[in-house]
Amino acid sequence: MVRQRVEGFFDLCTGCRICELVCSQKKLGMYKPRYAAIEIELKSEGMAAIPSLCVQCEDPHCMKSCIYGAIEKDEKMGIVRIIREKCTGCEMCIKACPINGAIKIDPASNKALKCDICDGDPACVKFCPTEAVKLIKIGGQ
Amino acid sequence: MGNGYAGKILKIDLSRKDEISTDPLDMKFAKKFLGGKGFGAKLLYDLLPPKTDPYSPKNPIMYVTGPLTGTLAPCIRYCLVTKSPLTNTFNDTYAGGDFGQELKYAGYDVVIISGKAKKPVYLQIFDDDIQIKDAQHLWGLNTYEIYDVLKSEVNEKTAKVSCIGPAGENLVKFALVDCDLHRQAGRGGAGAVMGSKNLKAVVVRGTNGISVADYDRLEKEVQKISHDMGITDKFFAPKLQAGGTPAIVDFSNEEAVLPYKNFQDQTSDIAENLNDKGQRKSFWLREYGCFACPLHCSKIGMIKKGPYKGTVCDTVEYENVGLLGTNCAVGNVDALAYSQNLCDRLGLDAITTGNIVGFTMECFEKGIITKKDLGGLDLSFGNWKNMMELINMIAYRKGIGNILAEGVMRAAKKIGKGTENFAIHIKGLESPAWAPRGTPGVGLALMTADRGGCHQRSNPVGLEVFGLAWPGGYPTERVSIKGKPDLVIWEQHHYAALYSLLMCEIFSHAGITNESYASLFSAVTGWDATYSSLLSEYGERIWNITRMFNWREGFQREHDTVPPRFKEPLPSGPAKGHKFTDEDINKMLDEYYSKRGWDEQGKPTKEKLIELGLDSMASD
Amino acid sequence: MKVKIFFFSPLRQILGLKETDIELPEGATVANLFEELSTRFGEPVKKYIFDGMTGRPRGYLLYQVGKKNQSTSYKIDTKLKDGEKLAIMSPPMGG
Repeated sequence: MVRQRVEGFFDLCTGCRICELVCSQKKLGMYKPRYAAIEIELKSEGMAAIPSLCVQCEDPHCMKSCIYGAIEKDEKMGIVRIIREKCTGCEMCIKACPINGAIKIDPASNKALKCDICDGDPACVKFCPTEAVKLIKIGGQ
Repeated sequence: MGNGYAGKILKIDLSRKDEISTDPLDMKFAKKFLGGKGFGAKLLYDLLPPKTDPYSPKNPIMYVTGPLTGTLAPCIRYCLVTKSPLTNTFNDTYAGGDFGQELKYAGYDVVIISGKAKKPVYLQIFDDDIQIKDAQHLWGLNTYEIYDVLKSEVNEKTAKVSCIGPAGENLVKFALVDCDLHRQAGRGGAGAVMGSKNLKAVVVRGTNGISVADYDRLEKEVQKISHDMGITDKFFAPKLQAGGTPAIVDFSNEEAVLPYKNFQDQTSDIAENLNDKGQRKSFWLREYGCFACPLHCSKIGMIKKGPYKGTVCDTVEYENVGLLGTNCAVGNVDALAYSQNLCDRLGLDAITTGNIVGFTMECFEKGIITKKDLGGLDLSFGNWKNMMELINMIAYRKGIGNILAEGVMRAAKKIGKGTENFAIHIKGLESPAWAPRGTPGVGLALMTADRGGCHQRSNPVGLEVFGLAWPGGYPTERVSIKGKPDLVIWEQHHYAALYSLLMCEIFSHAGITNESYASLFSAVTGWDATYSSLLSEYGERIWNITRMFNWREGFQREHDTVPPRFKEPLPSGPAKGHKFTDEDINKMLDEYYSKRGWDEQGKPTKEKLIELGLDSMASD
Repeated sequence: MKVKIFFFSPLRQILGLKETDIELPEGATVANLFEELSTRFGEPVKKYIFDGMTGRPRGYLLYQVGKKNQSTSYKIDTKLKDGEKLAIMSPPMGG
């Protein structure tokens, strides 16, 4: 079984938020970093910038807590996806997810958004100037 | 299709809580003045009656963004525009970080704050929800303390805050505005203007997005810029990336343009303790990037030893190395890092503070100010322990700090005894860490800068030292005045245009080409532009507005000069012996004014203003 | 011994060259390298590297590349090592 995810490395992250910008543009059609599927959090008076985003769980809490069936797991690609048509913006997935900022609800559409690794070619990885986000593959051929 | 602008101007009168309104941004206005400096210059000129006291409720303080702010365009900042209490000139002061972006996401290109609150307040801008809230419990907090308090009070940890420290509250004339995290709009006393309005902070949260004309073009341009920075052409980028602005210290010290002991000399043997290598060893831990900046020249870390250990500090920027460091003969890098941090916390412009401490040290050395005047402090050059004490005295206006808090020009006037000869300022703004003897172009740039002694309106030092041509220009000799007016005019247009796009000048030296700025601008706005059209169309127009503003305030030729110290020969370095003679100053000014289409007093002529589309100012 | 020099603006444009290898005797310093460069490339390099007024070589011009977080300029008497990669920087401004 394939698992892959975009992983953030705080030791390399400069907190520039380029990842949030390109992510929001790809997913929401405009620069709206607040609702991007990746979030940079500053800690210790700014001494660390910590990128956080969905880890594409093997057994996703968000999927199991969605009563609308709006979250599905693509076993072939190892991606946990939100089916926008089915999403009601009820926020139960956000409540169930332990990762800071991994799921957002853009008020303009009232639909949940999370990382789907851009189907294998993540924009954040492409644009990060310090390689602080990387696409990691685990297992599979 | 978007064009980068948020589309609204927010107007707040703190004197009257019901006076909050928004105007749509007029696109004709936007196209004529771009944003940033251009917007600020035009708005301040129109809003402020001449000779208004900077602390009058009528003097607005404006948060100004530009079309590129909040987009993928790299390292675009925001600015604060107001009339300076330090100089009485036009004042635009810039900060990185991500406060300006958040303002755009909240829906505003410009926020104009006028009036004066009866009691301390802070302003909360959450999209369309604007509130003026009580800040009496925040009054007295330093700029670092306020962030957590305010964010938990408004229950929004992702909000962005811009605030003043105790110095701003106490109307120290060079108080800064701090923006989280670790970014400051430093120069010219914008923080004091905020303080005069009883405005402690602005907290903003924006939930909208910014759309641009051509996303693909913007992305391609950004990728090209990263490529240009990293591996092609100017290799200065990796140096800045690794070393930040203190990587320039070695250059500056060897070429003798780095102030030492209140500008008595321009080179010293302590500078090498304070460069990037010294700082990295002392406290750097990680690299810090402003919003959307791939350069990340800033560093952050923690002092590891000595009396200040445990203090979290960011890079001591080049300017502060030159002023709080070498200018005060402080060669201890831990102490230097702490002194900058102290200025930031108290809300003092570290450039001006370093200049004034250097001035006070020279007064002490000459016996004009004694231990008794200083409340028992020995303020010999290099005494960093007592320097910290003096910085506190300035911020709280204690003892002699009350005089120094007025800026070096007024302090020297008050102290008298010949101290005016070594008060290093132009139009009241304390000179930065580019000491001009040996590079007359830098001198002309400082003389004619619109906010007084400022290196960010033109700083031709690199081109002068290496004898290089500017784009479309020609090479000049280092200590010759020949060609320097042309060089400075070009640079002033360059900066006026690009500051209207809120460009970061550090980033602009890191390998991004000038054409890239035009391309970013076109991709975002959908309006055609080339680098040279930006300069000829906007650069010159905006430069003439700020000149007209200052003219209206009473500034003319006699104010375009250098302090007496720069008229004495330079004691050492490659340009040893160079000084500014009155003859050289006059020659440069004559040529500069005439090439600009200004009269001999430095007033833009009617014809010039009409040519630049500034008809409404032509009869002023 | 051999060191690799990378040229950047404006020398790259002037010389039409991105990089070059320079052969130097063991124990050579930055000053020796600068002399070698100006012998090989003549006036334009000489003008850039040596201060026109005093003839003094500008030490800060040179810095090591390829090592993360090391950027400090060399001094004129710094001894070079075999295989070092060095860059000559463009004029700095701002602050």
